[in-house]
Formats: sequence, C-alpha cells, structure tokens
Amino acid sequence: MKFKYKYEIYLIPVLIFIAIFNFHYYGFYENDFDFNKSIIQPDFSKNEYEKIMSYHPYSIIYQYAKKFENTDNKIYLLLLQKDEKNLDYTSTYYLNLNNKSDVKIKAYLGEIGIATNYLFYPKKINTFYDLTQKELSKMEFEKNNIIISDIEIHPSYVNAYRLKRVMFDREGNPLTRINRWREDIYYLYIVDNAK
Amino acid sequence: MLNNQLLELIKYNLLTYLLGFSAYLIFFKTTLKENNLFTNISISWGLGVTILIYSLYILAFNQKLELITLTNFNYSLGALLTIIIVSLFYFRREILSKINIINWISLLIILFLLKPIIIDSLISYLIGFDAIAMWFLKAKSFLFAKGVWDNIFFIESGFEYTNKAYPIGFPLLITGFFRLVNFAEDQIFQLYLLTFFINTLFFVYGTLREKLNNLSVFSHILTTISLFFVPVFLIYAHNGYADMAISFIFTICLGLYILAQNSKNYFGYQLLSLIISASGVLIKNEAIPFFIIMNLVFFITAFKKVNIKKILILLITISTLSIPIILWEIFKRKYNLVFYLDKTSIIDPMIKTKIIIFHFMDEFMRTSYYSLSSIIVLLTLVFQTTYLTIKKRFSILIPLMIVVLMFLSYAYVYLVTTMPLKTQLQSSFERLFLHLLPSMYLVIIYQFRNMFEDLGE
Repeated sequence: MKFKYKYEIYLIPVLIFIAIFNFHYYGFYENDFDFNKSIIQPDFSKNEYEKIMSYHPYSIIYQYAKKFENTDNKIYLLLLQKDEKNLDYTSTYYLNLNNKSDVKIKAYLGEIGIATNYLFYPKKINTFYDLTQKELSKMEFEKNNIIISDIEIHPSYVNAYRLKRVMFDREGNPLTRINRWREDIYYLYIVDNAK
Repeated sequence: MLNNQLLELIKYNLLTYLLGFSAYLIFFKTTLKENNLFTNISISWGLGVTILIYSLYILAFNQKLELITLTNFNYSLGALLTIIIVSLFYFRREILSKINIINWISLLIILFLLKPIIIDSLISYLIGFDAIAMWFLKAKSFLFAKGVWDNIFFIESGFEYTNKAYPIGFPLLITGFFRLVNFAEDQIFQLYLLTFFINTLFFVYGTLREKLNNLSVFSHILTTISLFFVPVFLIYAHNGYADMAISFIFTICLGLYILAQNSKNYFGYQLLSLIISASGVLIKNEAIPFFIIMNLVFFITAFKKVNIKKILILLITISTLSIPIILWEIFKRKYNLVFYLDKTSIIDPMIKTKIIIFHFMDEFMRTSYYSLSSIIVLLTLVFQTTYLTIKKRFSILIPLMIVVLMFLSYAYVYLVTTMPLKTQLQSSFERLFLHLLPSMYLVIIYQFRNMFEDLGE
C-alpha cells in the first residue's frame, strides 16, 4: 500500500490502537441503542410518539396530563423528601429573598418536579416543599384533584380525604436511559372524595 | 414512506441548510470556493441556524409566532429551493469543478457509521434535566403564546428553576418545529439537535482533509471517527441539551479563523465568524466571552488590512446582530428576569483555585467520558506548544490562546459563583470539555500543519 506521506505507515497502527480503545466505550452505547431499538421496534411510517412515551419513566404522569388537559382539576406536587442531591439552588434563592425568619426554606425539585411541570404545562401546578405532617393535614382538596408526591402518603396524613393510589409498573421498564440512572420514586394519588 | 411529523422534521432540517447555503452562496461565494464539501456543509448549517434564530426572535418580539404554519413554511422552502437552483445554475461551472467523488464517498461512509445514533435520536424520549427544565419547557410555552409579550411563562412568577433570564434562541429553534406539527414533539426533534454534532464532526473532518492533506482518506476517517465516537459526544449529541450546539458554534468560528490564515479573503471568514458566533450569544451565556474573544482576535490580526468599507460592513453587521440581544435585555428589565448568579462574591479565591485545578486535572483523566481523546489532546498540545514556542512561531499559537482564554473565562465564573463550588464543578466541567474539545482538535490539526511545513513534509 502506497501512502502520499511516507511516515503515515508508522502512524496507522497508533491511529488503529486509539480507534480500538475509543470504540471500546462506544460499544457500550451502541449495544444500548440496538437494545432499545429491538424493544421499541420503530415503524417510521407511523407516529410513534405515544408508543415511545409509554416507556418514559414518568409515563403515568404524561397520561394523566393528557387526560386532565382541558379540565379545571387542580394538580398538587408535594416535594417532601429532603434529598440534598435534589436541592434546587435557584428556587431556594428566590424563596428566601423576602424570608425574614432565621429558618431558611429549601426547595427540592428533582426529576419528578421538572417532569410534572413540563408534562402538565400550561396547567399550573401547586407545588409544596418542606411541609410538616400537621400542615399536610390542613390542606384542602377537591374530588378528582391529583396529588403527586415523592413520599408515600399515609391516609392519616390527609384529614378526612380518601386518596386512591394509582398503581404503575415501576420495575418493568426495559429501556436503558441515556443518563443511566433510575428515576426517583414517586407516588400518584387521585382525591376520591370531597370533604 | 415516512410519517408526517418525521417528514416535517426533515424539511425543517433542510430549511436550515438551505437558508444557510443560499446566504453562503450569494454573499460568501469566494469563501465557498476555497473550502471543501464538509466545511461548506457545516458553515451552511451555522449560517442557517443563525438566520433561523434571528427570524424567530423577530417573530416572537412582534407577537407573530402564529405565522409559523405548514403552508407558510412550504412556501418559504419552495422559494429557497428556487433561489438555490437558480444560483447553482448561475455558478454551475465553479460548483462542478469543485466536485470531488472521494469526498462524497467519505460522506456516505461517515453517515453510515452514524446510523445507530441517528436511529436512536428518533426513538429516545426526553429525560435530561436541563433539556426539560431549561429548554423544552420554554419551547412548549411558546406553543401557547403568540410571542414573548403574552407568554405567561415569562411574565408571571413561578418556574424560577428554569433560569428565565437565559437567552431564548434555543427554545425558539425548538418552537419553530413544534408549531409546524402543532404539538410538543420532543422525541424526533432530537434528530435536529444531532445535526449540530454531525456538522461539528464534518467540520473537523473537512479541516483535517484540508490542512493535513498529505495523509490518506483512511487516516482522516479513522482519526475523525475515533475522536468523535466517545461517550461525552454520544450522550450530549441527542439528549436535548444546548451544549452540543454551543460546541458546534465554537468549533466553526475557531475553524474559520484557522481557514482564514492562508486565504486572501480574510474579511469573508471574519464576517462569517462574527455572524455565527452571534447566534451563540442568543443560545447560551457561555458564548458571550467567546464572541468577544473571537471577534477581537480577528479584528486585531486583520488590523493592517482594515479600511473604511470593511469597518462600515462590520458596524452594520454588528448593529443588525445586536437587535435581538437588545430586545431581550429590554424584556428582561421590564419583567425583572434576573440571572441570580449575577450577585457574585469572591470568597477565598486561593482555595477555590486549588479545587478548580484539581477538578480540571481529574476531568482530563475521565476515560469513561472521553476515552483516550482528552489525554492525547493534552499531551499533543503540550508537545506542539513547546515546539512552536522554541521556534518562536507565536502567531500559530493564537487559536490555542483563544481556547485557553475560554478555559480561563469559565474558571472566572467558578471563582465568583455563589453556588457551592463542588456542585457547580461536577456538572459544569464535562460541559466545558464538550464545548472546547472539538476546538482543541482543530488547534492540533492547525499546529501540526505548520510543524510539517517547517519540517518540509
């Protein structure tokens, strides 16, 4: 094989070695791409949005967002887990701008918060952080309101309300996420009765 | 047969390319003639994205986003195609003489190798934190508003975590497609975002073909694929983040400076870099220091060739490019959209500097994200810089200086941020490397070219 540049023959093995090493990491992602494609089995002649959305970690929230799109149902988002990895510095900053007390309010967001706001938009989400059990028990709901929470809500937490928990398959999602971590645990309830 | 939404996305991609190519062909014909297929495709994309973002800004501020309909879009596409066909016919001799079969075969090979990631971009759901919170939520808000002035997302309180003060170029780019299909189609739109990655790869490949043309096509393709098929690009190429778009803009503008060095048409490259770098300012704040540094370097290095006509063209271009930036600043002040990290403090800079340097060195060694690329880049740059400094070829080090200045500008932000440094650095450093790694590839190519010339190769 003749090369224009006489020293290229010495360079090729180095380039091949670098390629093998770099493709070693690419191989993991290519396997994921192939695996996801084999699960979804896309047909580009059809609109696959709903099908792909059914594999989304927050698919159940999407379904309820669609169901309640043009209704007056209120949506409550209770972010009560104080996981420091979900601490939202920007919201915390704005929450405490006019906070004159010594106790700083901390806003925890996490994926559940951003996903809920996005999937329900333009519907307004009533978001609560840092609630005590007493404060939670004083909250007023209406029938068919939706409550999305990052903690399991025991019936005794909400005074005289019956909450119907929406069950969904948490473990069955086979797709590999590009960012490779599992979604935070969340719970979805429908208020079954008016007070 | 493709479904309607995918067809509209392909047309949206095509519109971006055609917008850019028509402007490139009409106003920068000399530059187009000097470059190969790959750099021309990438520059067309850069110009097209710039024109599209500016048009969307004007529509948004005039409350005319509802003009983005399928009918108007098809008419625009038709008009553009007509302009291109007429222009290509007019310049057919020059265009035909530039056709290189090897380049077209390389293009097909590269696209074939990219097929898995192209398919994945069409079947991935949106899950990235910044993608949803910062970009796609804002894009969705423009689906329900005629423009900025009636957009409740911005004018009412709430959603502070989305950093409302951020530029809206990227969300508007997404909204353009959402309005075409009348739906927040956030899945297949990833293919449009993947095009930024593909064009960055094309530009580096094209520069490699141009500057190290003594190597074979096999070495060029192998090198480019190796440099770009690493996890950091695979993750960010189609996850809905704006960082690959910024990386593309940095790469193109620095590349334009490199390509300008052996050209008599220096002003053409300078103007292109000014226009494309301005779109970065409308996408992310990180592009502001780059815009200033890049255009200052161009201006200073071309100072002796400057004349009244060129200054006038530059001033008119800068004034036109400033319009969306000024409009956004007026809007931000009216609705008190403050970027909260503006309130800065410099606490213990020595301690912070030590932490920053530690993380910086750590990032270079993250083979799970960059494979061997980052380590090879670092060592090669040290070797080249030593050689060029000893040989006193300081002008060749200017592109490297631009990259270093960008690193320093990020370091400055880390020094003054009010956010806990460790939290900031963990996510920010990989974005920094994503932004600047392709530019470092170009610097290496350029410096090697000059070293080979010195050695008579």
